[in-house]
Amino acid sequence: MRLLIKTKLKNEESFQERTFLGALLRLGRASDQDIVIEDEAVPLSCCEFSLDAGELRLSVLGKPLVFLNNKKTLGARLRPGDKINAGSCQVTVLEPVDGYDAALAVFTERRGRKTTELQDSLRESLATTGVSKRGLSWLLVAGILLTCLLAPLLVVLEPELREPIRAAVMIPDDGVWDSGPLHNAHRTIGDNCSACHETPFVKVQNNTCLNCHQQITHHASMFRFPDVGLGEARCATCHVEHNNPSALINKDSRGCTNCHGDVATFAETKTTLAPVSDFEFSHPEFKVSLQVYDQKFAGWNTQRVSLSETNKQDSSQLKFPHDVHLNPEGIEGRDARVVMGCADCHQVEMGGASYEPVRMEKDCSGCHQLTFDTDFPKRQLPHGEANLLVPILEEFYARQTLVSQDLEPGRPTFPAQRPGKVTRMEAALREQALVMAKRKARSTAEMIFEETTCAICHDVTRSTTDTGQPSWTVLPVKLVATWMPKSIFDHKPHADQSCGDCHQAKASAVATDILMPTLASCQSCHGSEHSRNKVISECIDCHRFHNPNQGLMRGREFSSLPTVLNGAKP
Amino acid sequence: MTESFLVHRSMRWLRWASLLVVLSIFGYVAQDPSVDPNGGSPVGYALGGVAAIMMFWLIWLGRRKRDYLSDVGTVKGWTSAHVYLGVALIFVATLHTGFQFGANVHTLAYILMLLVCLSGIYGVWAYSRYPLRINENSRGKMRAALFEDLKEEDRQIVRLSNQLGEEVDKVIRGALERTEIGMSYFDQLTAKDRSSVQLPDKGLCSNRDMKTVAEYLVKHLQNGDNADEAEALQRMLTLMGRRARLLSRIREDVRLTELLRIWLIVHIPFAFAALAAVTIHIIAVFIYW
Repeated sequence: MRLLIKTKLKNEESFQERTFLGALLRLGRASDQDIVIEDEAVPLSCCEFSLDAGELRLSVLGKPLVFLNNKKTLGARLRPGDKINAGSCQVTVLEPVDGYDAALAVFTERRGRKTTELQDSLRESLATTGVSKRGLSWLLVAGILLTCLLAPLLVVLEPELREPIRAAVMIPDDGVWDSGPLHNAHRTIGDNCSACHETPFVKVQNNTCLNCHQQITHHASMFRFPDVGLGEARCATCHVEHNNPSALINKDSRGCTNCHGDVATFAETKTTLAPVSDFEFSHPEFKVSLQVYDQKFAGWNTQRVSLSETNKQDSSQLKFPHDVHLNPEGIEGRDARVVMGCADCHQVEMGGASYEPVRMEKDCSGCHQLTFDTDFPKRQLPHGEANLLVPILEEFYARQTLVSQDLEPGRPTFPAQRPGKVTRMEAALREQALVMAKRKARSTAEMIFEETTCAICHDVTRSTTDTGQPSWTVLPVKLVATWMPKSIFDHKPHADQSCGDCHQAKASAVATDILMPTLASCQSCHGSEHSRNKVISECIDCHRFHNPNQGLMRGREFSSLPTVLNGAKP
Repeated sequence: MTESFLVHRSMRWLRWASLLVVLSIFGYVAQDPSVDPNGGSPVGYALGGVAAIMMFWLIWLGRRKRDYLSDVGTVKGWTSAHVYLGVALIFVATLHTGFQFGANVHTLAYILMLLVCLSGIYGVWAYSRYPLRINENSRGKMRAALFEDLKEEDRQIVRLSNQLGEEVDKVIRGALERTEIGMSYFDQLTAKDRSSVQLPDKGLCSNRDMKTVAEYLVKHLQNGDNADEAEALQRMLTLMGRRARLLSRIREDVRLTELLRIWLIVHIPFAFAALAAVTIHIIAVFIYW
């Protein structure tokens, strides 16, 4: 294309004309441009003019600020009269002149240096990214303060804003302060931090725990041990929340042995508990709670007996040889010999932790039937009603002698019943029948009380009443329901052991034997917390801190203990 | 030979920092295991307290090194202690966490602190590596001196360029003007050469290491038959080669200098961020005690 270019500098009076020949007319700050604009605001290469189907066309290079008729442009077809501005330069498209494809008038103004020094053009380091260390510091600090302090603080201090902020997904709430997950048991609390953290800067209070845990009991009597600090102990000392992994119950034994390792020092004479500091090496022999019958009060007392005592005896007053029942060759049953196992009498409770109490009706009567007369094998006497047995027998035999059709030989016979006439036994005959019945009842009673049915399992004493009649007293029996009530033993995890591993029943010939396992028996598998080859057993595995026999923590005793102690009690 | 801050006073601060780390680990291992290790146990509180004081002190180096009148130790001693205690802080703070992490401000504070410490360790490594390389690259010259060399080179080129034809002169002047050093930060870090040249027949082309303009001059040399012009072109090519080497040396200088300092972009802002997060961590822990 052939262009006529008229150039005028700011201070010059007339245009300088020149002719451009070429396909592309380049405008920019660089020396290699066809129109050089000495203005730093103009890029090295700013825009290009070309001929497109006889019309002049403008293309802007990159993204400099180039205006066509005062509107920003990236390129356009040009018409005579169009004005293009870039920096201090203005290009006007003139009316075509003969012999030229187009004509342009260029006004420029010298401004600034022609080129910038290369050294100056090097904008160092971060400045080019628009980020400064100081700016970034403020940005980060402000962002963190806003999201992690201000927003959660509003939740704490402004109850009205609490729920809206917690509900808003995008706004951080006091959840960002949550140092760890809640234990599974506490998950219903959700993200309501203030449910437990009631007052800012105050530790979680015991009463807050007890609001829900109303049935939690004390460890020991607050009156007997006022000085050991149980009243000041925080629930959270042992029950630590927000840990990960979550373990709400502190299993470590040190919390226990801190006091119980030297229990005599603080409890003095108030306790019979032996010191314990470790299960494997420093644990007293187990004690069992025996039931002892007190003749004087005709009631049962509980007596604690150590398994280490040599003359220990169970005092249930039952006669029961385990060895006979567990004879591998069997024992005479109701119909035939049966080989018995433990489970025939000891049934597991629901859940498998322990065993249901053994009861005569449920567990013994299958073989030990309370029959009393071989002629009446289906008739049985009631169990546990010794003083009713003689009257019952007398009534039974009286019926036989008075009305039965089928009594033993030699009994008085009754006249046959005739139609229309009520048969009446003669008085003398009736008297004779009753005497006979009474005699029969006594002989039967004598037999069952002293030789067979009762006497097999019970100690029976015979006495004579004022009227000279014999009477029998069966010694009361009470089987121990819970041998070791101060510990918790779960049979279920031990189900793969055989019963005989812990309970030496096969060798026991008398019911006075105590068949509970000793400490050594447990220690063969269970060790201390540092044990390498034994089951690590902490106090809390067998014992409970919260003693069900003590009062509720929530209540007067706990909250007002100091006043109680300072008051009437010495 | 000046003594490095790393071996200041026979590594006195390395020994103190090691003692602190050993004591922290011992305290952590020997603590009452009645609860799982966490920042709220007695040992956890102790470790956290020590770590917090250390953080405040470490950040105080920024003040101390500007306080020329202070006679509380020497800046070199402070820097030595800053480095070793900063590394020890990683151990103390990690033990303080009890290795319990979550999506909360507490773990945020820990991560920020870790970023600060790790960037600082990079800084120590960079200071042991780059100053020597910068010196080797620039032959002991400051950057301003390199630019002075470049200016002298350019003056020679422009003087010679005047003797060549108008078109060649335009191309060469354009190539000088279109030389770029580190247009963006990323370019500075990678010593990227974005220089260009406007050739009459090809338009704007990349002129990396002055290659395009050299090729252009070679073509002219081959096509020309004027002996004087040929000699001038030869000399121009030599000058262009020298200019290219000088430019690449400057770019390498910029790159190495930035690599020497880049860690500070993380170290300084994140140190303040970590301080803010730790402050919130402490407030939050005691608000919800």
